Formats: sequence, structure tokens, C-alpha cells
Amino acid sequence: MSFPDEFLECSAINYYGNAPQGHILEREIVKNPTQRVEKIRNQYFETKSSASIEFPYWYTRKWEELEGEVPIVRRAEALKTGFEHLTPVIYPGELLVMGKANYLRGSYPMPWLSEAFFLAKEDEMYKEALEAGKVSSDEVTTMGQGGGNVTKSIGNVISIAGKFGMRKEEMPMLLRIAKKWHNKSVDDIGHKYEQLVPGYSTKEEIMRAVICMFDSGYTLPQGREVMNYYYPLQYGINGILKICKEKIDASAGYPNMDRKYFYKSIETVLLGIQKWIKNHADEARFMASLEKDNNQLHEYLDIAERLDWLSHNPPRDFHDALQLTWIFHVAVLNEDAISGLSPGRLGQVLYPYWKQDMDEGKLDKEKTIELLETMRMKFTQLDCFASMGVVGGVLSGNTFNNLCVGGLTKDGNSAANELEILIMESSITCDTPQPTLSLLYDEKLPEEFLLKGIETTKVGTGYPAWVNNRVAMEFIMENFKNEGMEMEEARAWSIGGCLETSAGSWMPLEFNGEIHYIPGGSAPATSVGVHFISVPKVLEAVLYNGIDRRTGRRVYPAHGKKLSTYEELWETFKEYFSLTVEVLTLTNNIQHDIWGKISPSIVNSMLKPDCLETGKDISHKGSRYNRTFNVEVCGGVNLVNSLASVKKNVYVEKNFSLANLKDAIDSNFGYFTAQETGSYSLIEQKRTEKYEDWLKIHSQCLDAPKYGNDESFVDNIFRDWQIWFSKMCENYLSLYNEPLYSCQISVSTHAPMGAVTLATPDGRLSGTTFADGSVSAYPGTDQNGPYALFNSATCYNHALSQNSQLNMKIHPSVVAGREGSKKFLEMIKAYLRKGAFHAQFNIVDSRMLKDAQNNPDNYRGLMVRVAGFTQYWVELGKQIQDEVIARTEYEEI
Amino acid sequence: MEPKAYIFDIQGLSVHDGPGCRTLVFMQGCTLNCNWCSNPEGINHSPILLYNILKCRLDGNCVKDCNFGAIEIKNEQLLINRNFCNDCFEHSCLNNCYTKALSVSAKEMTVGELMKTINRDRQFWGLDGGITLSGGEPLLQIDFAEELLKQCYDSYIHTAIETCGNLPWKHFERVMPFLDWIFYDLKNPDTLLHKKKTGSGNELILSNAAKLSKEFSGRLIIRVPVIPGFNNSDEILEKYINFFRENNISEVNLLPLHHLGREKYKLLEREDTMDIDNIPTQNEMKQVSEAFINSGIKSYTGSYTPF
Repeated sequence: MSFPDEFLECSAINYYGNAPQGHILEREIVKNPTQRVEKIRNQYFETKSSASIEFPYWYTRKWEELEGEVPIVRRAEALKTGFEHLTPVIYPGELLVMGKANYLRGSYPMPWLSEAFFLAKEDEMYKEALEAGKVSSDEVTTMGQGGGNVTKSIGNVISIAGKFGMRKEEMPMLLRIAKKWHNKSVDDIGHKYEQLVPGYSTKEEIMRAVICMFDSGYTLPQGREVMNYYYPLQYGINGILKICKEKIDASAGYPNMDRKYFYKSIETVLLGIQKWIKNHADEARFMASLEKDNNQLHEYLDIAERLDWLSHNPPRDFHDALQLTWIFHVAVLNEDAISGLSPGRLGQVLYPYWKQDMDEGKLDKEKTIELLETMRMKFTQLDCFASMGVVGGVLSGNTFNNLCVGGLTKDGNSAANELEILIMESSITCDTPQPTLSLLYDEKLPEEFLLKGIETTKVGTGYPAWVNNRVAMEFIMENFKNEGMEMEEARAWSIGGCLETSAGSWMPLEFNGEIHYIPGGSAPATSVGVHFISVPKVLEAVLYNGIDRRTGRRVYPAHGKKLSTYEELWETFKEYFSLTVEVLTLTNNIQHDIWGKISPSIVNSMLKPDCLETGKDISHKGSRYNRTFNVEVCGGVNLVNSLASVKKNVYVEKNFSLANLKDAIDSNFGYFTAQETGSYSLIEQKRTEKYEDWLKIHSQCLDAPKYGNDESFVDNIFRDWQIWFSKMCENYLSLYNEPLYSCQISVSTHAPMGAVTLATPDGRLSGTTFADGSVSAYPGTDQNGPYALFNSATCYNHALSQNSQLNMKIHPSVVAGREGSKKFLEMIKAYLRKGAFHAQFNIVDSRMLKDAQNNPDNYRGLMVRVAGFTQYWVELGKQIQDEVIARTEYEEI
Repeated sequence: MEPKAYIFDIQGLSVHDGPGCRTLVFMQGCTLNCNWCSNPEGINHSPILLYNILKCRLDGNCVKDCNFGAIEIKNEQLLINRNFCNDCFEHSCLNNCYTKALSVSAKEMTVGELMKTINRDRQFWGLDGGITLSGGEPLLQIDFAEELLKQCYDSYIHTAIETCGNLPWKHFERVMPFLDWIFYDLKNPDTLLHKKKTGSGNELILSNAAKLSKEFSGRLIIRVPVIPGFNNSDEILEKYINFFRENNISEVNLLPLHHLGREKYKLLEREDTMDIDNIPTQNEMKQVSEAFINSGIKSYTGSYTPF
């Protein structure tokens, strides 16, 4: 059995370097799912990512039919037609049913957002389709290595973007549909209008130089946000339809008529969703009619009965509620290209139903865990078909469905509950990639709950992420103060996506005659806006007077300064960075405006408070909180280390001049470039014969103080950068007239953005990967141990930003056994108490240690802990490393 | 004057040398010379030159920079006059060694400087936690050790040492008032065997242990590095147990021998004496542990301790 390769990519922690291959064999905590789920999991392992044309076909067909219709209604009808025509599939053994498309790992392209990729690849795809079926069986066998990815065409399945397989006969239709969206997609129309921005040519050069990673308006316009399941749970589909009817009656003919179209659209899409659910009920009955096994037959009939009920009514029990939340989760995913749509604090949302069933004896813990395991399988089966032309392989179909546990209740007590402990347990027994978990840490959470989190962390999946409730609340209070955020409501926050702090609300769920205040998201996608500015690349442009040295093209207006003081250098960096944010904000605002105009969100809008009340969708500030556009950066630690090196070597000690430094950078400190060696790993870089010439200057660059060692010289620069960056974002306004804010997750961009950046003054070589996260040290430079790193990381207030990110790899010797668990928890608590926002841990197993032998630079900080002994893992030497690996396998160390 | 000491490492998040998460301070210099030592860079009484041949490009800078002519290059090999260099304090050979092939094992620190680090680290220890002085032999630089432990003790920091015991009793007298825990190595109860592998007999070690068991009010845990064929025979174990009984010592922490420090021998250009001994099997560890347990002594193996 092997995990799909996304297994490791999905946890934020593993973005650095390649995920090691193979199954995790040895670890302290190993449990298995129930037999039923084991079967479903094996089915998943044997399934490839599959793209279908059904939904886009029907969507496009209806859209064309309704030319001239009010845009939002036209979109609603198109979505409705799509939902109605999705072929229902029920798999044997499933307790929860329904999915994005008619395949187990199904998804589909959304050419209404962007079609450019398909048109650009048209010839290639036709050719592939023509040659389909000619691949030998040998080649098919080797395909298994790519996990669920269809990396190349096999048989009658055509590979799209190295990820999705599509049936050969659907390919011509995909291209035909793509053509229909030419000049009509959000991408195309947005592009037409963004050119009106005066600085547009600068934007183009910024994108060409890869100073910015991608546009956000048409790539993933939704996601990195928290779902809100309140309305379906409270009212059921019939109830929401009734609200729409009343609202239409109250708004038709009155001023603010847009409300009417909005309600009409919701009604329309809901009818489509209703039909989609009923189609599955019919399918379940059909399956029952063929079934000989009595148990399975009854399960099909139960499914049919449940779906029939839920197609009209609110849930009656836990199983109903879990099924209904899943249906609406998928319904949102089916309206846009979305990554990071997070269930949020689902264990608190579903608690009233679960409590009822437990009290009545309808459920026990074992049955609950089985249901939760099937939920995990459903989330794991999700694929994201993003706009390939822009995102390409970067996202790798990653879906980031973050489920949060812990945090506080509306009235400020611990919100942790028994169901959440079972959610953690089910992620130990069924340790699939999704949903990923975050633990919202607060001093008020019970010890038992926290130790369950430690146990889960020790499984080695990389989750839960440990995030600081108090820091997040401070950020939420500050960020949404102009929209009336209050302390009580700030407690409803959750993580949306990878690590995005998102505003939430408490909604009054009536169940069994009681009101339960359940948390849910109440803001649209966070993490849209200016996405991934490579800050070391901006510094490079400063050194080279506004030119992208790699391509020789002018990106920024020449500054023409001598840069004779550190202050002048820093000011010039700020100028270029500000210019970047300014032009990207304007163009992104235009893209999002077009998205909201021609392809607005309807399902998600319906769910988000207070769209249903106000009659406005999320792209027209219908939701309660709207300050959601941010600026994301990548390579911050390399920027800071570079500034420290220049400050020390050029300005303070005058070891060399700026001109010398630029010569050294041009010569890549006497090394071949990563492109030349074909490896982006630090350790494998090879010297040229000019190496000796640059050795001294390179060693001075490497010797300059580095972030992560508790050295004030560089930590002060780090703090200055953090504070300035967070504040400067407020100078720019989003489409919704709200100031931007800073976000600091690198996702996987530190590799591709490092690849196009020359050597940096901190001694990093050309083309090599930047430091990951935002407060992780550059590999190998944190030489004073974890406590020094913790101190450096917390030298500024993390609440200034939407997040901070610290990824640590930990050898099992540090956390082994019962005492190890408690000490591990103490360490995490201490770091968070110091004001850190986030920490995430990979408990390195023997498989990863083998990877560490091949890629030592990714593991330089890895500590081995044996009584009275001092040395880092990478310094142990190959022979000893083998010994440690062997010992790790026997859990002896 | 504020005492100074040579420190060869400070390791935060140490979890196997006392309660909680701790900061370990590795102090230079030892009074024994065990062939299995995992921190051989800490044996020499002064900081010792480390040479990483993999990083060396034979540029000759160190040859030029050395004021004593103690380094030369012959047949494309760097030759270090260890007799001289091991006691050198100047280390000018490092000045232009850009690849860091040469380095020095330890740096000199004042108590104040170290306290700054300890006070930083204590924020992250969590409950329990504290410092453990290790080495080398931490009590060799006794003025420093006494002052550091006193300052820690006075600021409510949990203190421990990990000692080889081979020191005059007065050293213990000076630090006892400021110590919560002592990890006390007893490598072999037989003095001849002890001398064979550590370079020194065990008389002083046994007498200090006996005194500590009576006079030290904190927790005394004997540590035994389990080395097959050296200290795991029935006969030796009986001697151990008799000694524990005679002195009312109740806890032992068995440390299975490991070879993790092997790479360091290369840096010291010292003969790798680790291979003389084999790593104990799980079964061998179990036998030793059971011998203690059957005699009513609490025995913890490796990192599986109740602290």
C-alpha cells in the first residue's frame, strides 16, 4: 500500500523539498480504520484523478441558451442545469454519499473562469487523443508511482496538465466548450479591463520576472475560507426556498432590485441541488433493487430515505447532519475553482445532533468513528481542478479542507468537546490527507484534549497544526474593527484553507427545543488579492537598478541611486515593494470585479451570513465581514538575511563594496547555477573553476548574522520588515473599499520563486529554494537550537499579520513515550505563550530519515536526542545514520 | 572576577537528562578517557581543533596564518601537529579558513553570558524543565560550575549535573547546596576493568558516590552505560547491586551504548575506539535491567524514564 504523493504535500509542513516516497512503516502510534472504511480507502488508493465534462457541458449549454438574461440569473440557471445533469453514483459500503462529479476522484474544468490553458494546448490535446490507446502495458505499470495523478495519457484516458485523466471521447467536447468561452471567461474579460490600469506595463513585467506568482481573480476566486452550514441545518432546503419566496415578494418592484435577482438565483440553484440529491436517492433505490446482500440492500434504502428527507427538510440526527453538511460543502465546490474551503469547527457545529444520538443510545463511539472515517474519505477524494493555465502544477489539486478543533465558545469557555476528541481519533485511525486538522490552542482547553492533539501529531501526518487562539482573536478584532467586530464574535473565528485566520459568527441553531450557538464562517474568501511577492527578487531589482537580471528586462523605473547607506537601500526596497503592491492591487481588484459581475457566487453566498438577509452576494459585500483581500509574500527570511549581510559587510564593516557583491552574485559565488546542475538542492550545488575568486566574499555573506539564532542584529531587521510590511498593506484598498492586510504563508511558492532568483547576499545560491513558511529559518542557518529560533520568531507581534508559519521536523527520540508526549506539549505551549501564531511538526520516521540522507539540506536542523549526547542528525555520518534508521524502525532509540 | 568556562555546546530542548524540557550545557574537559565516549571533543581540558577533511580545499591559508608552524601540507594532505595544536589558545589558523574545515570545539563564556541564554531558554521549558550541566566533566571547571549553579538555584531554576564522579570530594561539597538532581556515572564497580577502559580506577568514584548517597538531599540517579562484555556479567552486576544496597541507592538509569559520536573522532583525527565495544541487544539490556529490578532497584532504560 502506498499513499498518494499529495499525502505529504497537503500538510503545510512538507512544502520544503520533495516528499519522500513510500509508506510510513514505523511509528509510535499506528491504528487502522474499520473494515468498511479500509475497503473504501483501498478503493481510493486504486483510483486516479478523473476529470469529467458533464457539468461544464450542461453549464455552458444553458448559459448559451440564456444569452441576454440578467447575469446572476443566467449563472444560476447554468449551475442548476449542471447539478441536475450530474450522473449520480453510489459506491458499495458508503455511509455518506455524493461527490463533485461522476467519478470517485472526480472533478471538472471550469472554462467560464479561464479557458486559455485548453486553447493553448489544443493541438497537443488533439494529438494525444488521436494517439490514445497506443501505450503499452509496461508503461501503464510504471504509472502507478504517481499516486492518483494521471501524469501521462494511458489507454483511452488523456492526461491533462499531468494531473487529471479524461476519457478520450470527451476531449473534443472540452475543446469545443473552451472555444465558446474565448473572450467571455473571467480571465479574458478581466484581462481586457486590467489593462486600463496606468501601471499595467509594470504589472506585466512583474509577472514576467516572476516577482509575483499569480493573479487571484480567475484562478481560485473562492476558498481559503470557512464554510457556514447554519442555514441548511436550521431551515432545510424547503425552509430556505420559503425564505427566498418571501424575500422575492418583498423586493420585486421595489428599489434595490438586485436583491430580487439574487433571491431568484438562490431559489434556482437550490432547485438544482434538490434534484441532484433526489437523483442520488433514486440511484440508491436502483442499487437496492439489484442488491442481493441484505445488509447492503438496507443500507441503500437507508441512504435513499435519508436523501429524500434531506432534499426537503432539516436533519433529524447526527448522520443526517453530517450528510447535509457534506452535500453543501460539495455544492459550493461545484460552483467555482476553489481550494481551501474549510469545514471549520465542524465538531462544534454537529455536537447537538451527536449529543442527542448518544443520549438516546442511537450512536456509540465506535459507530461515530466509523462515520467520521467515511467523512475523511469523502474529503480525501476531493480534487481541485484549478485554472490550469495559471496555477499549473503549483497547487497539484490540493484542496486544504481545514477542520478546526478547540477554541472558545460564544461566552468564552473552552469549546472543546467529546466529538472533537473522536474527530482526532478518526484522523489517527484513518490518517488520510483530508480534512487536515488545526487545533485552536487556548489556555482554557483541557489537558486531556491537548494530549489527544499530541497523540494525533505523533502519528506523523503533519496535523494538527497548532494555532494560537488569542493571537488570532487579536488579529480578528483589529482587522474587522471597522466592520463592528466584537470580542464575543471574534471567538467564532476559524482557519480557512492552509493557515488563513478567518472571521466567523455564532448562529442560533434551534434543535430539540434548545438554541445552540454554532460557529461558522461569515466572510468570503480570505487570501485573495496580491499573491506571493518574492521579496528577495524585489531586493535583487533594487541592487540592479530596476532590471530583472535574469532576463535583462526592465521591471521597475530606474531608481538611479548610489545606495551609499543601508537606509537608502532599505528605502529603495520599500519603494519598489510598494509599487508592486499598488499595481497588483489595482489589477486584481479589476479581475475580482469582473468575477463578481459575470460569475458571482450563489451557493456560497446563500450560506454566508448575512447575504440571505441583505439580498447581496459575497462579491457585493453581502457577508458580515469583508476585509478579506491580502498581500502574500514569499522568501521573507532570505530577504532579512540578505539585508543583514549587506548591512554588516557593505555598510558597517566595509568588507566589500556593493559593486563587489553584485559581481559575486553575477558569478553565483563561483558555483554553477541550479539550472546548470539540474538540482535545486543546496547541498548539490557544484563549483566552477572560478570558485576560489569568490570564496572569501561568499564566506563573509554566509557568516553574516542569520535569522533564527536569537541575534539582535538580524532579528531587528526581521522585526522592522514585519512591522513595516503589515502596516504598508493598509495603504491599499480592496475592491470592497477595505484596506489590505499581510498574510505570510509560502505554500509551495518558495521553490519556483527561488528558481528564478539569482544568488542572494545572504549567500544563498542562484535558483535554489527560499526558506519555507514565514518564521522558519533558512535550512542549516539556525545553529543555536530550537529555543533560539523560538525567540527570534517571536521578536514581533504575530497578530499584526493573518498568520505566521513555523514548520519543524522532529526526530521521534525527542517525543518518545508518555513523558515525551507531555514534554512535547510543554514545548508547544511555551512557544505559543510567547506569542507565536502557529507551529506544525513532522515527526520524522525512518522513511523520512532515508530521505534525509539523500536531501540533507532539508533536515539540517533535525535534532537527535540521546542522553548526554550532542549532535545534529546530518552530522552523524552515513554509517551512523543507517544505524539510527535501523533503530528507529525498531523504536529502540 | 566573573568566572569563565569553556563550553562546547548548549543544547535546548533536551529531554532525557532530567525532568521536563531542559537546556544542556556541555562543559569542556574530562577526568576520564573512555574509549566509547560519544562526545570525544569534550575530553581535552582546553578547546580542541577540529578538522573536517571534506570541507578542506588545501588552500594553505592556515599554514600561513599559524604563528607556530604547527600545520603543513604534504602530499596533498593537511598535517596538524596535534601535540602542539591541542593545547593552542591562539587558533589564528581559523582566520582565513573560508570553508570552515577547521574549527574549535569550545568557546569561552562568562556565567553572565550563559545566564542570558538560560533565561531565554527557560521561557520555553514549560512545566518542570531546567538546566543540566554535562560534558566532559562539568565539575572540572568548578569555579564556574559553582557560580552558575548558585545563580540558577537562586532564580528558581531546576539544576542537575551529569558527572563521571572522578573528582576530589570538595568539588561536590561546593555544588551540592545548589543542585536538585545528580546523574552519577558508574561505569564499572570493578576498578581494574574501570581503569582498562576509562584510563582511571574507580576508587574515588565509589567513595564520592557513597558520600553523596548520605549527604546529598536531592535526587541521585546512577547512570550505567551498558557495554556488553564489560559490565553486564552476572558477577559485575552483583557488585553493582551490592554497592547500591550498601549505600541505599534506589535508582539506576541504564544507557545502552551507542556509536552516534563516531563522526567526531574523524574531526579530532583520533583513533576511532568506538568499535572496541558492541552495542547491546535489546535482550542484553533486558537482562541487566531485570537484575536491578529483582534486587528492588528502580531501573529505567534509555529514554524510557519516569521523568
